[in-house]
Amino acid sequence: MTARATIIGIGEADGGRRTGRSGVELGAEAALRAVADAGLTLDAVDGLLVESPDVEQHHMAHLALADALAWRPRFATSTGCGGATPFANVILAAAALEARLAERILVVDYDARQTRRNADPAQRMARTAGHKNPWEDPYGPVTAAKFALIARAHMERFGTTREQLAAITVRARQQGARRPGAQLRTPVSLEEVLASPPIAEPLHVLDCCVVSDWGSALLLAHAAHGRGRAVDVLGFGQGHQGYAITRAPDLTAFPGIAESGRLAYEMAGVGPADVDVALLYVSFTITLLIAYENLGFCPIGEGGKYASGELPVNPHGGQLSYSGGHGHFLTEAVRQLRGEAPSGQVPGARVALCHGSAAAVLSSYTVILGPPG
Amino acid sequence: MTGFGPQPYLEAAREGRLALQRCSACGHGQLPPMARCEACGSRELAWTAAAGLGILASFAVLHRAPDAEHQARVPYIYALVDLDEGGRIVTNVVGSEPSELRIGQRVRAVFRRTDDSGQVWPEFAREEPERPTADRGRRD
Repeated sequence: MTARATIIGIGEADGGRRTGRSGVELGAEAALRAVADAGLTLDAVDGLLVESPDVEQHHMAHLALADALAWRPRFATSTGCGGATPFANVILAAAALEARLAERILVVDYDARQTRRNADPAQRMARTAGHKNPWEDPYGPVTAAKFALIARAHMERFGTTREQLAAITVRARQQGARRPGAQLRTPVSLEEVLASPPIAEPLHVLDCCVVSDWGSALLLAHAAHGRGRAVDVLGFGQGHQGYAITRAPDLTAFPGIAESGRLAYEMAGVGPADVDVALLYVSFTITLLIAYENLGFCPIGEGGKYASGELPVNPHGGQLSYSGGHGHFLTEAVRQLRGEAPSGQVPGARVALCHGSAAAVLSSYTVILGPPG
Repeated sequence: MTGFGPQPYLEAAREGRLALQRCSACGHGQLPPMARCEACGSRELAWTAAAGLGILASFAVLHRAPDAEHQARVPYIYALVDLDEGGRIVTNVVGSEPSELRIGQRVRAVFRRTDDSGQVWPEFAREEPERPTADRGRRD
């Protein structure tokens, strides 16, 4: 295995539900913690890749964050790939390091989605008023709606049940309950998930990820710097079917995810069976099931049964418990490979697969991590 | 190359018709419109009439809405419909209880909903009470 880059530091802000803090403050805290975790100061870092936040400062977030840090990086960009952005930015960082655009790059994502979201529901609704996209907006879409289309198609075609989806939340909450700092630490029963209010049937409230304030950061350097607690980027890939749900001719198989996984496995020289711990984006319960199937952990159609299987997945609780943020899947993978997870440590974990999806599940980024050398 | 803005579609809807983009080179039908034919890549595309008939690809029953107009209608049915001529569109299914709907069901465009600007937004309604059981194919 040839490492493409190495992760020398990680950091997370003190986020959670409605912190009262601004997003850029959370981002700055996470960034400084990642730099300190690497035993460095910001003077030794010259690159920055930032996820454009959803509810705060869309415009040139990379510069706003650099200002907050009283810092002038020599390479800086913000990108918007939805919840998959930090995964995409790890890939971009690896390429930028190889091109010598920078020597050490911070990958940061943050948002104050609870604190900064408009308290007035009518104002929130106004965001989509005016039928900006005539192919979608007139029909009252909510985020969960597209995932519900996919869930219903899966249930109808393969006999997947609501109970199988609900079991994903039950497991996530069990794991998150043991993790200090997780946002939702109360375990829930299968019955509670099933009886939670419907949002976009077949999906109910407890099929949906939490909404959070968060900040997370990774510090990447050239692969040659991988030593000690560093974690190597062994492989990555991406695949994109489209943005609009209408670009998916089959709602039960997602070739963008399959392509993303295949490229990452090939580059890392591993397969699904070699993965010790999986960190899989889980915006909704169905998202996880689709990832299992299309990343090759189980055949298409068998995700419902597989979901309660042996593969260690999201030991920190993921988005159904730990945080609604995005980068924590990658920071948790690093903790797992360092053997430093405060709960749910997978003994001797050497290969971690991280997967981020966006545009429902039509867009996919896979990053495979392992110990240096 | 002709433009691919929604105007011809929206004008047709105001007259109670469904329009779709058809490739002059290979005959492929597509919706939403694009700058190229998704089948053959040709840029020779024209708007043509669709019969307004299709298949329900999937649907969700929404209990939360993103805007006041839809909030007044919860629960409503958000759906994906495959038109007979080609093209896949997001829409609402009206006039049926969720329990009466099945994936694969025949649906027909209806033109009952007009917004404040006078634009008519095509919706779909059940075309047959129930599709034949034999059609349920892939569920094994």
